[in-house]
Amino acid sequence: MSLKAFQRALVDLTLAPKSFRALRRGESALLDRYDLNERERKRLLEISRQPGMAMNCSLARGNRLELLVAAFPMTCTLLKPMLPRLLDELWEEYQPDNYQLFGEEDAFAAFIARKIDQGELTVEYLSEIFAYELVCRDLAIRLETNTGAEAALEAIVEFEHPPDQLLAPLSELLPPPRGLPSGAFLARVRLSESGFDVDFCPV
Amino acid sequence: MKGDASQVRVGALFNPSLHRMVERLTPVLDYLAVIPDRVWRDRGRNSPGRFQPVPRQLGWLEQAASELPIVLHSIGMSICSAEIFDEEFARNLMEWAARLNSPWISEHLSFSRAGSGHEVNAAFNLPVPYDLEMLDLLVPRVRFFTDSLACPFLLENSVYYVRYPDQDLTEEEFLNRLCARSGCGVLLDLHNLYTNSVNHGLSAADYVDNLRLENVAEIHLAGGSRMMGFHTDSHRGPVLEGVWELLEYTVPRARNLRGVTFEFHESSFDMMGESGFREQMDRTRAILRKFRESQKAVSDVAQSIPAGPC
Repeated sequence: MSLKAFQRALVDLTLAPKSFRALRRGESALLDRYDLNERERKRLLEISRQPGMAMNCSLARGNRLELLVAAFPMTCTLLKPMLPRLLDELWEEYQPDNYQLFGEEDAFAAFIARKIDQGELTVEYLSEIFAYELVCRDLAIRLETNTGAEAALEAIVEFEHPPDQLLAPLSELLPPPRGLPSGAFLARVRLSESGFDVDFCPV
Repeated sequence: MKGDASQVRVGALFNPSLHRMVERLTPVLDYLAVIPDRVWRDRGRNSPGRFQPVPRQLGWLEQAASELPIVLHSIGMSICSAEIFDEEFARNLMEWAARLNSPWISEHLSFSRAGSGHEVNAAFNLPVPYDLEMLDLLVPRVRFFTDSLACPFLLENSVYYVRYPDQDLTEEEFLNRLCARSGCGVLLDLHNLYTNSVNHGLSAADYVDNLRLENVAEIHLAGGSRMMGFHTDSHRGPVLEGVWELLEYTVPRARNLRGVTFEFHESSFDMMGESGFREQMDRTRAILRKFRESQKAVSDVAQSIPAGPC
């Protein structure tokens, strides 16, 4: 049981930097819930004091973040100043349960949608850009699982601000200009092997 | 006993940035290493139809396999997980190896998966303490592969950013014993070794000296980058000079070496370009050629010495 407990504790500490920092500060009671032998307990206490443990946590976070940035690059750009805090909150309640890290993007999407619905995220343009990226992600999944038939991978997305002025800077991971005029706008998004193609259509 | 460098192949770890170029790069590549875990979607242990091929990734793999031999380099097995030995995963990996007629397959000497019922994943491969307990745990698991596979099964030395105190064995001793007891080989990742030596002030040359190099069947080369005061195994950019030096140091004594594989992160392909990629292949071949020529010179000299009385 002991080695299993050691590994479980190490995984938990890697996924929860707060816990490992508490351990580093000397809160060794954190380890009481694991059935560790004396050597394993000493090892966890020792590595919590090594700078490499912070590195492990950062690399694990980086691997998770990489998936989110790949799926929601523009949403992450808009959220940039508050993203670390939001991810802390999300990852406090959600741990990966598979080696392929499937579910990370869905958990993030559900979390952001909930925050937007509850009015906890009032970042300019966030709702429409997030909705646009959800559509893009759906198209990307369809392309990924496309069995070869030339499916029509396209969708119409509604915007509340001029999509050309939003998407151009965001595609470079730069924030769009503030205070763009609001209205009703449509864009047709197509996805092929060569990437996304967006047309701005009249309403 | 000296190695035979004429048998050593040069390959690269496949990533999506290469998929459009495989045909063009065939002349500089002898094989491709592929991470099979990216070709399937895993629905979880005990799920019916558990491993679902992802058509797009499978298409790339099949295209690559039509051009070059494919070696499988798995990342998801987590063979060192105390709580999990995923036999379904292992069988699936072996089925893919048979299907692709892989010359060898490999996994990492590390773990990321914990938990018996509900699994938790560290999102990062964590090192294991090199204890006899871990050795005893691993031997039957590795034998599960070596007893069934028609090709060699290799385990890769880990990169580690923390050092466990009070381990029973060094990593080299651990690998030597594991190979002796289980029949597996070693995938010696020289960039991992370089990274550990830089970060922990260890001698990479001593490591190579202490490792039984006849067990090394594949070598990995890569670049890295700095982060938080560490050298990291990020696979950014070309192979580092210190890693090339380690390759020159290791090759002459790795007599069962079959392949040298260049790994790079797809995001660094733009920085390196196709010409940079080819340079890595060319330099690897040049090192292997240099060793081959020195081997031949020694052999020629030996043959020119007349046999005298004993």
